[in-house]
Amino acid sequence: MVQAFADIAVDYIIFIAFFILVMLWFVIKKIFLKGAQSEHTPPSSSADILLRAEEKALRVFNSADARALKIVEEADKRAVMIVGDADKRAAEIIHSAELSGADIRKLLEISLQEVVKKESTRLSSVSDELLASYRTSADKAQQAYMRTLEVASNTITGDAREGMLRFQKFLEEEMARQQNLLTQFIQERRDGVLRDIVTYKKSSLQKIDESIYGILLLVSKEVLGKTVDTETHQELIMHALDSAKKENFFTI
Amino acid sequence: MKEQDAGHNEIVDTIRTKEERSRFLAFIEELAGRLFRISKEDAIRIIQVRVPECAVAATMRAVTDLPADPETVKGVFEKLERALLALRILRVDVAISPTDAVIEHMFSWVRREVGRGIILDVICDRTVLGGARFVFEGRYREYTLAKKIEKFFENDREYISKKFLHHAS
Repeated sequence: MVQAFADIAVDYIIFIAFFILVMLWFVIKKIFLKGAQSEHTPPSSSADILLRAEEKALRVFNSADARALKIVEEADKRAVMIVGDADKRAAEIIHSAELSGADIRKLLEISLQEVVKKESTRLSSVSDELLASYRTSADKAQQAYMRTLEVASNTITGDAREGMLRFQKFLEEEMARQQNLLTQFIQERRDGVLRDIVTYKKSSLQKIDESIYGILLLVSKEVLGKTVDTETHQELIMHALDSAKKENFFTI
Repeated sequence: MKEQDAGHNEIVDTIRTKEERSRFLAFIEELAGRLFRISKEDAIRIIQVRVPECAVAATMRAVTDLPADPETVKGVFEKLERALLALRILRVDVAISPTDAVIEHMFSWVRREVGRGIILDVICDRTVLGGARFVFEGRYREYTLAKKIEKFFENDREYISKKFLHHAS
């Protein structure tokens, strides 16, 4: 009988402890999720990201630690309380059934105390393990979180730097391209203007030559008193040869 | 050999202008290239077509007197080529396209008054207006109507230029 009550009490305690552990697990998970969600907050600058990430991580983990410790302490207290209640209830059951003798009661008390002690130890051990596990997980999470943040930060910084360099390169290339286009445009315009000038000059000179030639023909006619025909040309050429000879032009 | 020298001297003497010399050199080059596989009839036909008219008769005579040995003929051509290239050039700028008569008149004068070994390079430049401009052995002299008129109006150059420009515009 006593053994049956003891088994019930143990099962009850195990159930309660399991319930506490599940609740504890959800609480911790919620804390971690909250921390993980904050990773997706869009940063403003690399330095700010790191600073904020560090601060947030510290806050999150300090809070998580505190909560975890509190939860474990509460769990311990509740476990002790539950065991005490179980003990009390078992005693009541035994007493109401009028089956308790001094020895049985003593045995029951010893048995329950042992159970309580054993379960308390187990619960405490579980709590310790949970705490240790949590701390390990927290450390790991913190490291992972920091690494992620660092990578993200580096990526963001790298991206920003790369973006700046790319933009700078783009600007330089664009400026060079624009300068080339401008130079080319100016050169083409200059060439065009020079071509126009050369054409105009050539045309003007031709006009002048024609005019000069026409005027000079008229003047020649006036000077010579007659039109310059082929015979006159020949005379002038022969006269030129005579003049050149007189001036010893052909004498080397 | 003396006959051959006389022949090629006669040819050189008949060349009056730079243009005639160029044509004769081209003829020599063509004939020399076909020397070993050309008949005398073909050579005569080429002479009639290629050689300047003034030199056809002299060339015909020279070819008739040539020995049958192609190597000797080649030597004669080379000598003739050298003699032609050694001729000095008198450049004459005139206002008209010179007729053959004018060229002959000028060449005869040069041969008589200056001497042999000179050929003419006659250029038609209407701006000369009349007379001639000479370039010979790196020297220059102008006896043109344009120059005379220019000198005549030298004192009123600006005024005349303005008139020209006004007329041209």
